[in-house]
Order: sequence, then C-alpha cells, then structure tokens
Amino acid sequence: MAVQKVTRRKDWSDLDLDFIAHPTTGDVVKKTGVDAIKRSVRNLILTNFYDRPFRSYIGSNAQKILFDNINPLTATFLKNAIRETIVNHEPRVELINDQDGGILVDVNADQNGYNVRLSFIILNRGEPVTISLFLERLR
Amino acid sequence: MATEKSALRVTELDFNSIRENLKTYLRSQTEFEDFDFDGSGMSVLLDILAYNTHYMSYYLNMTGNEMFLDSAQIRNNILSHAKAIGYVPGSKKGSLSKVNINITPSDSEDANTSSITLEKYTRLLGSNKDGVNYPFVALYSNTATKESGSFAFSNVYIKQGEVVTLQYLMESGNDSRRFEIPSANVDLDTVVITVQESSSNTDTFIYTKNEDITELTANSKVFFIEENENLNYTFYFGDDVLGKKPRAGNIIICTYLDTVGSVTNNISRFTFVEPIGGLFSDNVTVTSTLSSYGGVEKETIEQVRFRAPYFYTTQNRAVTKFDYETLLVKDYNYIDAVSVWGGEDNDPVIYGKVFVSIKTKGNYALTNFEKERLKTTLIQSRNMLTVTPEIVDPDYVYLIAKGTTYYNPNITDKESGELLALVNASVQDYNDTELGGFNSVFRKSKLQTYIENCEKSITGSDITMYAQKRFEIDTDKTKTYTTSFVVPVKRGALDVKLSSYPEIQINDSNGISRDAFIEEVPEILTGIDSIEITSAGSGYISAPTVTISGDGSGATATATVIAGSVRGITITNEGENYTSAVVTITDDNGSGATAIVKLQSEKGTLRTVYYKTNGEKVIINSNVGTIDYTTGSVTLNSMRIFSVTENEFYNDDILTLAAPISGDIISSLRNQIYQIDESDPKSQQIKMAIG
Repeated sequence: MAVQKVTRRKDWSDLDLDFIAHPTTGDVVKKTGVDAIKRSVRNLILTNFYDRPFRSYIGSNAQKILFDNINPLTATFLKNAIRETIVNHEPRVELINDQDGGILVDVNADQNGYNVRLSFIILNRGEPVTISLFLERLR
Repeated sequence: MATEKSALRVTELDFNSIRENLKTYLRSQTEFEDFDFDGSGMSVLLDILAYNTHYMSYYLNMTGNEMFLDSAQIRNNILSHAKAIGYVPGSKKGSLSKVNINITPSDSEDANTSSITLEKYTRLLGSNKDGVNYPFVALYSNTATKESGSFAFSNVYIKQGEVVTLQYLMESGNDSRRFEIPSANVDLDTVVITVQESSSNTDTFIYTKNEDITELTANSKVFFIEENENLNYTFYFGDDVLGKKPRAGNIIICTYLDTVGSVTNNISRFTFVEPIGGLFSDNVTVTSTLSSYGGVEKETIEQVRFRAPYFYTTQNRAVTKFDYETLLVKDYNYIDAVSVWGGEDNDPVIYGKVFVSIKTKGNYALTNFEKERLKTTLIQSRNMLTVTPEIVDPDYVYLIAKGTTYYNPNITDKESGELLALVNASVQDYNDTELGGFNSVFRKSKLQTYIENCEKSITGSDITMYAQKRFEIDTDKTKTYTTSFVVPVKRGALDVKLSSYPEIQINDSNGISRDAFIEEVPEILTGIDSIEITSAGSGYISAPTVTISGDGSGATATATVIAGSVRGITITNEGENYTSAVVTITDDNGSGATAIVKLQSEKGTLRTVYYKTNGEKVIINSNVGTIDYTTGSVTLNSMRIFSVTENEFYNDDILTLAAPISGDIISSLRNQIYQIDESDPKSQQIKMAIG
C-alpha cells in the first residue's frame, strides 16, 4: 500500500491586538488566514519609528508625514513610506503595481486626511486583497 | 508537546537573545504561527516580553553589583558596605601649619597689658603662590607675656578652614537623634559637639567622637558621625544604652572647620586679619616655621574599596607589622610610605619596641608634636601593652652616579648635550620608578639598562655609584660625629675615594684657619689586625721571638707561653702599609709553633687636607677618624669645625660625605630610603664620550 503523506495545511494565525474575548470560550480571539495578513499590514502602516523597543526601524513613520501640510506631494511621500515598510517587513505579500491600483493615497482635504487604499496579492493565494484606511493626524 | 528543542532557554540577558529564545519556544506550537513577521500582533507581544525581561535582568544585575563592596558603583552603597565592617572613610582635611606671631603694640594701643591670649579659632589668611587667600585658624589658645615691649607666640598650630557653628534643637519626637551638617567639606578631626541643657539653662557638656563601641556605657557622652546620602555628614547620639541620649529641649551646638582640602598645601605666607587682645594687625608679624601640609581630599570610592577590607583585617588592633601600616595610612592619609620593624631587627637590637618610620607626601619631616600624636592616639591605644612604639625619621641615603656614557655619533642627529639631558632624565626616571620608598633595592645593572635604552646611539656606560650622607655640623664646638652610609663602601683608591663637600673651616696645628676637606687616606694599606695561632708547639721555656715580615713596616708582637706551648700573641704595634704579612716564631729551646696574620682590611683612616693657592695639597691632620668599609659607618673624632662654607646646593651647616659603594646591588632596610636627589645637581655627574 502506498504510503499516504498527510501534511498540515499551512495557514496564518496571529493574536488579535484588540484582545476581544471569544463569546463562548472566553479565549483571546485569533486572526487567521487573510485576516491575519491584513491586520499585519495595517499594524506596520500605523507603527512609527521607535515604537518598538530596540527595533526602532520597524514601521512606516506615517505619523510624522501626517503632520506635514496636506497636499499631493506629501501624499506621495506617504505612499512611498507605506510601500517601503511593506516591502521590507511583510514578506508574505506582493504589492500590485501602482498603475493597477497597488497603493492609492488620495488627499481628502475636507476631512484633513488621506484616503489610503492598498491592493496586494498574498503569496501562494490567488485573489488580490484590498485594504482601505483613512489616515488623519491626531494630537 | 514540549521537546528538547522547544525548551525555553533562560540564560540570556540581552534583548535580541531573549526574543530569539521566545521565538524558538513558539515554533513548537501551532496556535499562533505569525510570530516571525514584524507586523504581526505576536511580534509586538514578543517585543514587549523581551524588553521587560531584558529590563528586569539588567536591573537585577546592577542591583547585584551594588550588593558587594568590590563591585558597587554608588558612593552611598560603598560607604554602607564599609560601615558594616567598621570602616569610617576619611573626610577632607585642612592643611596644618606652624607659625610664630610677634606683636609689638604701638604707644596708643599699649594699655599696660602684660599678657595677651590668642584665642582658639583666631583667623589668619594664608596666600598661595598665585596670591589666592585661604582662611586658617589657630587650633589652640595660646598666651604670651610681654618681653622687651612685644608679645611673642611661638609654634602656634594653625589649620586651614572656616569655623562654622550650627545649632539644633532636640525635639521630643526625634527618635533617630540624627542631625545633618549641610556641608561635604567638613574636617572630621575638628568637629566639636556641645549640648546645652536648654535655652534658659546654659550648662553645657562636651560630647566626643566615639572611637570604641566596646567602652561605651549609658552615660558616655559621645556622638557618632558618618557620611549621608547627600554626601554631607550626619551626626547622631546614643540610645541611653550605648551612649547618652540628649533630652528633649537640649540645644546641640556643632562647631567644625569647613575646609578646601589639598589645594592649600605648601603655603608659607600668612597674614593677620583680626585684632588679638585689642592689638591690630599693623603691629603683628607672622612668620611660618613650617609650610602648610597634610591637606587631603575626601576619600574616593576607590580608596574606600581598597582600604576598608584591609582595615577590617586589622580589627582596629596593631599587632602585626601590616596592622601598623594599615592603621597609620588610614588615619593619616598624607603618608606616602610606612616602614615598620620590630626591635629585634633593629641595629642595635632593642627588645620590647616597635619602630615606625614614615615618609610623608612632599617629604617634610614629621614634627615632634605629630610623632607624639601618632604614638598616643593611634598606636598606643591599639597595640600590645608591653610594646613601646618609637617613631624614627627616614634615613635618606643619597646616591650619586658618576661616570661616562658612550655613544655613536654616526647613528644619531642629537648633540652630546642633548644626549646627556636624555641620560640624566633616564637616571631620574629610574629613581622615580625603582627608588624613593622603603624596602627598595638599588641595582646598578638596571640603572645602566635605563641609561642605555634612552636613545639608540648610546652604546654603553661606565658608572660608579657613590653613597652620600648629609649631616649637620655643630659649628664652633668640639664634637665626635658618627654617621653611616648604611651600605658597604669600597676602600678608596687614588681617584675613587671618600670625599667631603663643601669646604669646612678648621684650624691647623699652628692655629691658622684653613678651608679644609675630609678625605680618605688614598690607597693606604693597613696594619695587623690579629694573629691566630695555628700550632702551639712545645718545649718553650721563655717567650719566643715573634717576627712579622711583609711589605709593610713597624708591626711587632709578643708571645705568651703557658706550659711549654705558645698560647697567645699580643700585638704591640699594628704597623702600616701591609698587603701581606707572615709571622715567624723563633726560639732556642722550643719549636713547632706557627701562626697566621690577619690584616686590618675593614677599616680606613680619614684625614683633613687643604689646598694651597698653587694647588699643593697639605695635610692638616692625618687621622681625624675612621671608616668601616663593611657597615659604611664613619666616625670623626673630636673635630672642631668653625663653619661650613655656604653653597647653592645644600642648606647651611650641612656637610656631605660621599663614598663609592661596594657591590652593584644594595637593599634598603628599616627606615633607609635610597634616592637620587633630583634637586641636587651633584647627584648626576655623567659625561658623554664617543665610543
């Protein structure tokens, strides 16, 4: 009889930093699969340099850029910062080319912020994933 | 399931290693797999955990360090460890000096007073060489009576510092009985604490600093003092079990000197600033008899770290040689070096005494006052009852290097003068490194190594070392002087021999004053020291004839016969100029007696000479004393020296004798210190020569 090889299906699983308790078990809720990666990307964008102890280089430093004047040039800086951090720190995703709508940062002058939309492909998963964020400065 | 690989390692203290260990551990579980990605929530959690662990381990490490005297870094902790082993670190100390004060009252001031008192804490100003003034105060009160219209205070001890008096009220709730002196510059030796009964009752009691806890009773009026966390000082009182506790309402008066420490050493100019006995400073002259010395800084943490354990090993008792050294250095920290030896090692042997010799920083001589203080307060209260301490001054043996250094001019661009300066500097370097302390060893070969290594062109050196003794002449008195080079010296030859400097004025046989020198009789060979019988022979009826023959002349001796044999030979004339001698015993009846001669090789003769204007040397007295080559001791018999010629090298009335050292290695014993004196230009007489 041929030996049947059984492998565990590899999936992503991470702690949810919101620390919401599971309604029935009371355990900390997990983020799994695509949700885990989306949360990871969002975490990286929202992290500033020197937020993490001893690992000052992690993050996009978006906060610093948000306190500059809101204009298309700053939007470009923000886009570059986001791309850089994802390329450097999230090896599981590949950004879709900008022309195809990879990272879009639009100035939202009415609300004093930026609409950010990221599209990327998770490696070894077919369909593209999109995250939308609204970034504004908070004091 | 936990495996060997997944065991959490807890050995690391570094952030990255701790984080890696946590990651290794997490690899064995499947619940949260994203810990390896920087953006994941797990990664954030790992950072926090690793940071926390790292922080705690660092903190624990530092706390651990502070728990030991050897590794603590914070002064307070070091002092606390030192306190636990009974060590009180030294405070700043003000410089001490001694002055003579002379006051001549003017007519208007003279109120027929026959005596005036210089109160304790009377203020003087001492100015250093840059003209900066520092306050000094009198340590004791002194009284002077008027003589020839003026008052003279002699040898007044003054100490650097500003007198500060503080008052504290003992309140009823003060259970700790602690009071802070708000200064880090307190000279602990000068703290005086008096307790006044109350504001209405002015009876006062003096409290003294506690020295020995074992002697305290409930009524002992003592205070304790220590450095506090502000680096100031706190004094406190006993608890009515060990030392008397002040009562509520008592007023505590603390007086001390606030000092600046070591910067006021070597001050010798003092002026008066406040009137004494109604007499003003215009009429006061202050002359210093001793430049200020002994000012020190507060003990540094490294000094405490080093001294505290050694102090503990002495247990505050002076029993071993090492105890004496530790106790002296602890209390008297302007000591540069101490040498201690028992009376059985002394020369001559004196049982029941212990000898202490102290070399101070700055090489000043200890005054009798200080020696007495050291003996009573430091040694006698701590050593064994039957042992008497004796403080002796260091015995300086100055070494003089004479000779030639050879160099090759082809391999250097330096002139001989520049090379000589380098050679002299290297000799001084040798002195600073190897000599200058007690128990040091002079090695000529090492000195030559210093010289020969100072420049590449130096090819060799031929150095003769002389020992020099300086001693004071009691002018115009007939006196026998004895001194010792301490080291064995060579019998003098024509050019290398004992000599003196500077000229001394003595009278020749005709009573004419001459500028004379003392010298060794050159190459004079000596007479017979003893005759040893090797065979007594037999058949002698009367004393046989003893004939001494050799290259010298004049030696005669007689034999003693007992029961037919020669039993003794008595020298009747030592003779002179022998380098070898044989003895023959001849007699008509007896035969067989033989003996051998021992020459006086250990002693030399000294004479005084002067030079006529044409350079001719004239002997004034051919035998003024002797030199013992083995011990180096010199005796000048009944010399009357009228004066010593003043010179730029040595102090007045100092005569120096220099003699070539025998042997290339000499060790200093007891209180001897070898030194090549930098301040004496005659100490280095080295010439340069091509070769």
